[in-house]
Amino acid sequence: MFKKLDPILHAQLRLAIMSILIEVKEAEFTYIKKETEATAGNLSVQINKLKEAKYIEVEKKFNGNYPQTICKITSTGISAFESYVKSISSYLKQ
Amino acid sequence: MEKEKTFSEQEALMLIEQTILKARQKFKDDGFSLIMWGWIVIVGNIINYIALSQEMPILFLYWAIVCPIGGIISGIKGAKTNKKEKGSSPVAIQMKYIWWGCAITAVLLWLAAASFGWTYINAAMFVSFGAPVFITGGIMKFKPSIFGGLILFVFGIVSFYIASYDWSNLVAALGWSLGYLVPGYLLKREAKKQ
Repeated sequence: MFKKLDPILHAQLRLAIMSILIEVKEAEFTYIKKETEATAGNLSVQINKLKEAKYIEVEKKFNGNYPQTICKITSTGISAFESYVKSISSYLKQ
Repeated sequence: MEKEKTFSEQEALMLIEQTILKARQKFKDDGFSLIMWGWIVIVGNIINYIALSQEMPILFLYWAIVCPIGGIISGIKGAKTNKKEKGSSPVAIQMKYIWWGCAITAVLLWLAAASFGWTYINAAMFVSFGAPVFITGGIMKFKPSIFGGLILFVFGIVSFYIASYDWSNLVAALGWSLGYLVPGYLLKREAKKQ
């Protein structure tokens, strides 16, 4: 029986964001934008969806005069990601 | 708003693997520590040879003066790098612990040698520094570091057999050149490319 894939994670850009954060734990918005090659607008929308799902936390602060947005994966996000990977692995085995 | 791209399970897994691999490779270091400590140890081994062959034990003070300075420079560089890094990677944290473990091992071996004799210190240093070079090379998937670590292990074994000869220090200098400096300069070149 196929497990239902998490619809929050089964979307290309959100999955890319989570894959980056699972490795680095936390990262700046500009770093994620560079790595995913997404537009700022689309990236903001997807980050908000992950934040609403409590998979990531978003912290806004200032570095000198420059605003910084830091995204950090949560323990809920880590569990969801691990579960997602197990689910798609089981899809591929069958 | 852009439409969400749909993709297959296979594509999803590939995306995860590629993204994680790319993030991991970003945490290759710039070779600074390998280059700095490589030169410190190479010059030190040449000084050891001169001190032993010319009977000038005062030259051994080189280690007591230069190593703490090297340690301070490493500490400052490490603190600056931590400030600059955009992500605190589990991989970067692992690598820090590996090198800290190595530094503590080296200090303990030095303290032991001060009590029990310096004959096998070169061999001990090769073996204890070969491990982190090899391991971090594997983590970074950087072959020159992996081979560098293996070279250090080989020179470690050779050093046990030639320990009683003054010229063993010159052989040690060669070992550090191959096992430390070569990967260090290659890492520096890679970091510049990135």
